Amino acid sequence: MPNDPAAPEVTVAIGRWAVVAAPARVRTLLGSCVGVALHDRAARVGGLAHVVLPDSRGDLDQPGKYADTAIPALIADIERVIRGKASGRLVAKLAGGASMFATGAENPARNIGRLNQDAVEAILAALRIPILARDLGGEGGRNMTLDPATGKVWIRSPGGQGREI
Amino acid sequence: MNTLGEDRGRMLRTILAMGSEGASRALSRWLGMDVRLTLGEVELVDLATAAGALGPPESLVAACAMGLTGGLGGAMLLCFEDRDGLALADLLLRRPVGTATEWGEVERSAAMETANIVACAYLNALAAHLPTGEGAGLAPTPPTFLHEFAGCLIEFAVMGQAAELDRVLLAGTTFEVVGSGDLGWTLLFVPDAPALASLSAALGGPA
Amino acid sequence: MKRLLIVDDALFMRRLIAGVAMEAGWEVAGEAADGARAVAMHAELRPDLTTMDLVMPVMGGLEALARIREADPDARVVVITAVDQKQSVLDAIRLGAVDFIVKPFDRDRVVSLLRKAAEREEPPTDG
Repeated sequence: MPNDPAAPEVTVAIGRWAVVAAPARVRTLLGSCVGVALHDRAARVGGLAHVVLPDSRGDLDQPGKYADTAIPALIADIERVIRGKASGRLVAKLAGGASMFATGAENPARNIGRLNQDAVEAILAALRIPILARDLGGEGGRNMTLDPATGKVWIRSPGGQGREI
Repeated sequence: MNTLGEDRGRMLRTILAMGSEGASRALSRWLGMDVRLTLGEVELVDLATAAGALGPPESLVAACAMGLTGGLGGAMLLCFEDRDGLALADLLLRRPVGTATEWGEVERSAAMETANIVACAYLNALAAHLPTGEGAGLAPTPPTFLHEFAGCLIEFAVMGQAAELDRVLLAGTTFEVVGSGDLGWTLLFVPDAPALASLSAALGGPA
Repeated sequence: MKRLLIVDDALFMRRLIAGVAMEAGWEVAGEAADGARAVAMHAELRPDLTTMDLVMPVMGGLEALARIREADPDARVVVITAVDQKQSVLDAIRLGAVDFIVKPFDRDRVVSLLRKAAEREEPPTDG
């Protein structure tokens, strides 16, 4: 984990997002949801969105829930903190998108993780935000932490050792 | 759908209480002990609130996870901390509680068979009180044993509702043995969005 | 000694049933953890009785029951399941199950059922 264990940490709830400046960190717990970490190295500012579903289909009540509304909302908040345009300054790291435990072959919810990944990647590509690292898929949950001081992201699996991406 | 409404909420609570009672009776016979239950709130909550339903979202829990087959879709989870789950295995293997210190094949199997029995009994009771369409062939899939962050477990379970609803319902039942207190096991019944709609319709007419 | 095939995906339940069977004087000829394996083992072992769970991976118990009875119309199968619903009982009986026991079962009831099943099929001793 990061060198300053006393640094404040902001927890992002499911379907929400948050932006912090170093030395604060931001973290979230992910199952089939995808965590999108965006980082501005020069400003040492970063944000994390916890995306539940790929497409808002026009639902604007919960922007943090959907990939197509959460990522723009996250970028808008980063721009507020850095007081300028984020275009060309941001890089991304992704985690999550696990498959749900087997609950019968026809369960459509099982593939949500994959659909979330695809949606997030397409949106970031359209925004020309490079994806520096991915820790996606599998069948287990993840605890994801972003340190905006360095842009490093730590992933912890249930019962497993932490790893950096 | 953001709230259940008084009538449908009451009817849903009534039928889920029947499920819980069926589960509790089966558990009493299975363990040879007098088991009582406590039914949690049956209400629609936002996703962030749901994530705390099993305690702190970052705590590690063991669970036997099952899907549903038949007239209703969704998931059922029998969840416990390791210590309480291993105590269950010791009870069933007729050993002093504290004998099992890790999850071997037999301990996992004892927990999974308990999950199967408890979930079947819950669904049997629901099926007996639902119209044929919803009740027909209602059964859990074979359980999967896993260790997971509590918040992630809930996230997986509610995904079948979250895809269509802004607020989700998970019905929790906790069990205690009369005279020796809380067993520390929670059974979660999480219908998916279509199942929640058809349960509501079957019980109280259209939304 | 009568020979029993135990079909259940849970190791714990197979052990429990095996304990009951031995108490009732049966030999456990084999154990299967899914329906497909049960069909193959039944053809190979030709047991006097098979206990069949319903909810199992790969192939469920009703399908296994149907296939076993198709291959061997004299096969005797007792369903032991936690699914206690009218439809599953009717399906099991229609497919030829000789009994239907709901988990969690009363141990003594299963012991007496197995004892009776053994006696019923013993050849006459006085002729």
